[in-house]
Amino acid sequence: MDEAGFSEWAAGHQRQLLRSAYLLTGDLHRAQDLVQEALVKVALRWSRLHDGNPTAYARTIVVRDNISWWRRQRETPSPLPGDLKTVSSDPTTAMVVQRSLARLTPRQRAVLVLRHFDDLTERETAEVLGITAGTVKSTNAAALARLREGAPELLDLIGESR
Amino acid sequence: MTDLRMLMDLATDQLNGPDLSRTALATAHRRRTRRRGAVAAVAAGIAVGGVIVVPRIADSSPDGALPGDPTAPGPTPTTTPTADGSPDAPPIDPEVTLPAWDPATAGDLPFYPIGHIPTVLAPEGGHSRPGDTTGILALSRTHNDRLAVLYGERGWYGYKRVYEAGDLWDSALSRDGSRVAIVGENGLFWCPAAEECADWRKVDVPGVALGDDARLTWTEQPSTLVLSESGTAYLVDLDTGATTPQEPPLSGVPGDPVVLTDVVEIEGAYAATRRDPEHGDGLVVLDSKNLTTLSFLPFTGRSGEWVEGGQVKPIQWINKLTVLATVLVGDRVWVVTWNYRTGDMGYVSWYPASYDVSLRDLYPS
Repeated sequence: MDEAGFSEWAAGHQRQLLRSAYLLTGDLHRAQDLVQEALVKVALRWSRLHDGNPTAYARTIVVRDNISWWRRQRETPSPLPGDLKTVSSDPTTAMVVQRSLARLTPRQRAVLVLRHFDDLTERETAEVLGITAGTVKSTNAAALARLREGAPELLDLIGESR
Repeated sequence: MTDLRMLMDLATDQLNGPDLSRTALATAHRRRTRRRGAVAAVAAGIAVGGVIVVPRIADSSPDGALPGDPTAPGPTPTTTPTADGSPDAPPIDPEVTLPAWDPATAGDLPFYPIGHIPTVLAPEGGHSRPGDTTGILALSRTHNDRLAVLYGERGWYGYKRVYEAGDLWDSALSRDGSRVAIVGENGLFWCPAAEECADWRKVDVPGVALGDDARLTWTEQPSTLVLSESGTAYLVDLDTGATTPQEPPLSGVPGDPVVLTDVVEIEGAYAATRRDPEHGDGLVVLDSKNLTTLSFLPFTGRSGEWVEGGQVKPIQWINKLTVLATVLVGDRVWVVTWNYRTGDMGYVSWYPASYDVSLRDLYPS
């Protein structure tokens, strides 16, 4: 295995994956676990992935593993927010974002993060989640509507969202 | 106007985790070792299962026996643990040790054509219709999970992606080339290899065996295969749908002194890769009755360099003296031959490292 190539790729993409995972989960430790597992799976397939799109593969693993975890653990209460100063220069905004995202279903949350944070297209988001582009569009609309209704504090920050 | 993108960016702008790549590499290595050991043991039918730690041979050179004679009588293998509980490395007779070989030079070996095996084992150029060439020789899976069966020098036929299987974990051509099986996140599927497969047949298997380390190993029968996932294994009859649990393979202990993996068996002998931090890694052929080493082809380079990641793997015997092996060098996988008696080597074919290729049995070639 080309360990140097893998390490170079991981160094360039780990932080973005971790930020996405944190937005998906609201739990730094679980976010790290998700990214760790995704990196392991990329490493196991590096010979096949290195000239393809390992980042898309890793992102898919993070998102799907998170949804699988949520299905298994849905009775588990959401984690209390940790020290938000370690994740954001604006802890107040971080708290509002985290509370708002927590109102969404895992799929809605994933669509918002993939579309609005990772800047994926509807088609790319659909591939990551294994759903149709139409479902991505409707899920995105439903998620934004839920935020408008249930998270007015976010509205104050967002104004008109796309 | 602040949008959602900017808010999420701001909400995570100080997030910096530890370097996870080193841990990921170490974990991947451990899983790979377990996986390869499990597959090898199942394929070879070796009782010890899992990663095979070679026992010490009490007396490796019985009087009158010629080194390298698979028919020579040998002693019963016995394990002799050392003080730390690990078995000692088996002795290798210097007489059977060949000059060291650098696997990085696999592409420089003389060309060794075998039958109709194409010189490039990948679907290239125009495809052909099934049945118009020489019978199916190989299955190729590309990095985007598309499948193609390869017929001969220029013939191949591609399958549509099997979306119902989800992400694919493994694919394999049966040993007689008649069936193709795949395992993915949504189950185990198979199809006759000689036809355009419009309808993959699903076989119900325990969900525990569908993890992403799932691997397929065909038995000699084209109707049965072993589905293994780290710690579990099932014999699956594709025709009846019956699944029979197999003895779970033993896990190897990281740091075991000598480990044999990727074992392929022929009557009277095993071929395998050997990892030995003390004496060096290499390809070996063992007498299957007493595990004496009949031939050892050491690799240049540090221990683990060519073995731990499966860079060099025996895949089958093509005659009683010659092993077919794959060697991953850069972005290519070379298919090479090794005659363990003469030490002669050659290259048969190559394919891109981003492909997974499985060959039908070529014995005898």
